[in-house]
Amino acid sequence: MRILLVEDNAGDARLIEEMLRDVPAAVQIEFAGAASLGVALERLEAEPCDVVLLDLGLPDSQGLDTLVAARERMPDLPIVVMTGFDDEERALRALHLGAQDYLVKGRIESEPLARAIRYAVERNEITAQLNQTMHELETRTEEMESFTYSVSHDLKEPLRTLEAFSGFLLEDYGDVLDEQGRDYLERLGQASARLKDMIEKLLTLSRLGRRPPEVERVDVRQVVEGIIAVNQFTIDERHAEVVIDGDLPPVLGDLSRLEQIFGNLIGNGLKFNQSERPGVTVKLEGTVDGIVTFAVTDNGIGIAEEYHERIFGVFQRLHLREEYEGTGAGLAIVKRAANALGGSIELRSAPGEGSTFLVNLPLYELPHRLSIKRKTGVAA
Amino acid sequence: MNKFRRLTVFLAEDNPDDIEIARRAFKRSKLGCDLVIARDGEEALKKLSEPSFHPDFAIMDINLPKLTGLQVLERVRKEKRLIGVPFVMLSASDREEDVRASYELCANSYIQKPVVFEDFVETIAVLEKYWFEVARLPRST
Repeated sequence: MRILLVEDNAGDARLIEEMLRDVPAAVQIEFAGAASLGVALERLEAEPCDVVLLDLGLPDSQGLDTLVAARERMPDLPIVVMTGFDDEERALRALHLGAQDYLVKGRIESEPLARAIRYAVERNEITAQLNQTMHELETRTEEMESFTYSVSHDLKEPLRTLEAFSGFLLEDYGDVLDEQGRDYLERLGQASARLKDMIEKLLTLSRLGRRPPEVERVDVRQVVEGIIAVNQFTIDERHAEVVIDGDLPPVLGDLSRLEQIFGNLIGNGLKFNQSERPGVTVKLEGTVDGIVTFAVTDNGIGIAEEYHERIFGVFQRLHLREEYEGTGAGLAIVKRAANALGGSIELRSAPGEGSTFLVNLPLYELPHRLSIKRKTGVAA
Repeated sequence: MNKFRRLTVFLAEDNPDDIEIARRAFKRSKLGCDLVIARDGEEALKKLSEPSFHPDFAIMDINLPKLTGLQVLERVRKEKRLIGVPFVMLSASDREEDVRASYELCANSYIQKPVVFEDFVETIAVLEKYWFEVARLPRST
């Protein structure tokens, strides 16, 4: 194993080398030394290394910036930080910035040091494999999404013919058909209308299932108020009520996904509802670790436990078309949209007791707190 | 413009079903229209190159066989004789590139083919209203 030791203090460098030489290692250790980041990069170009031991205080770079610069220039190499500062928060920052370990000089014995280095190399390899798999998965998901999108589009072409010509037939030849003939034709027309709805929903699903290109602060209260305004006619007609109970904090997301999430949940709450006064309430359930939970509660017919998973599938219906119209894609869209924003959906419901859908979404926080939060991803 | 003269609408479309749909949609419109049809890009270009042919309005599918609708548009836009003829591009897709390319080649409008026939009738009515009643383009003949 070849170790590149980036350390400007000759005494420290010698100490580390000696510590590692003492260890009866299964693999032979070779050292390459560099007294600055610049020299280290030059040496790396000349001959490759397996792992980098990096001091953060160098003549040409100081502090965590050293690590950032090193990661940028040698993204595939495992880096173990060795420093004089014993600072837990800084150590965690270093790990989030991609260091494999953060060791404090003078506090570590030779054997744990050797082990830390060996493990750093292994961990780096495992992470690389994981990232590779994730990348492949992302590519495949994207392909799948674009496949769904183009197929849904292509399906519209024959559908247009079906829709138009069943109409033409009825218009031109309705007179010569008997009642049953006209009924058949009308069914064809209705089927093509349903097919159109389903294709539209598939397109929405494939569009909103992707991670949005940009997320921003979205005011959930405004979203819900907008949905109420758009549906005011239906709400009045059904003597229903949609209420916002208390404050709704802003989330980090995008408008079209949030409109779909709350629009479908509120719409379902009113639709699958046989109360004399159908009601839907949206309120804040709580906030934990940067995730805010909203509760959308209705006094509708409720959902039996055995269906709690199935209803989130695409085109899943629990009722006859004559009872409740719709394609059965609404909750699938809700779930995919929430997932795409890094959130999730939960359900509490029983038949006859109404339903509460819990919507978990990333809370919008002030930008400076956000920047630290963002770094808590998988360290590459 | 003489309101009683029948208008000539040029339609470049390869899908026979869509031709029939367009034919019926125009039949429903308030203005009397004669449809002249080309089934592929080459035929479209040939028809539009005839010195005596000057449609009031042209609708072209983007995905035509042989020459695409965009290729036809590019060549037609170089013909002085046809300046002033509104060209509406029609496509099944809403692909950003197609929309942008259409307008870059000076299409007057880009329309995604509606799935529902009544929507198509509506679209034609809007187009006619705009191009024949509002825009009142100066005509060379």
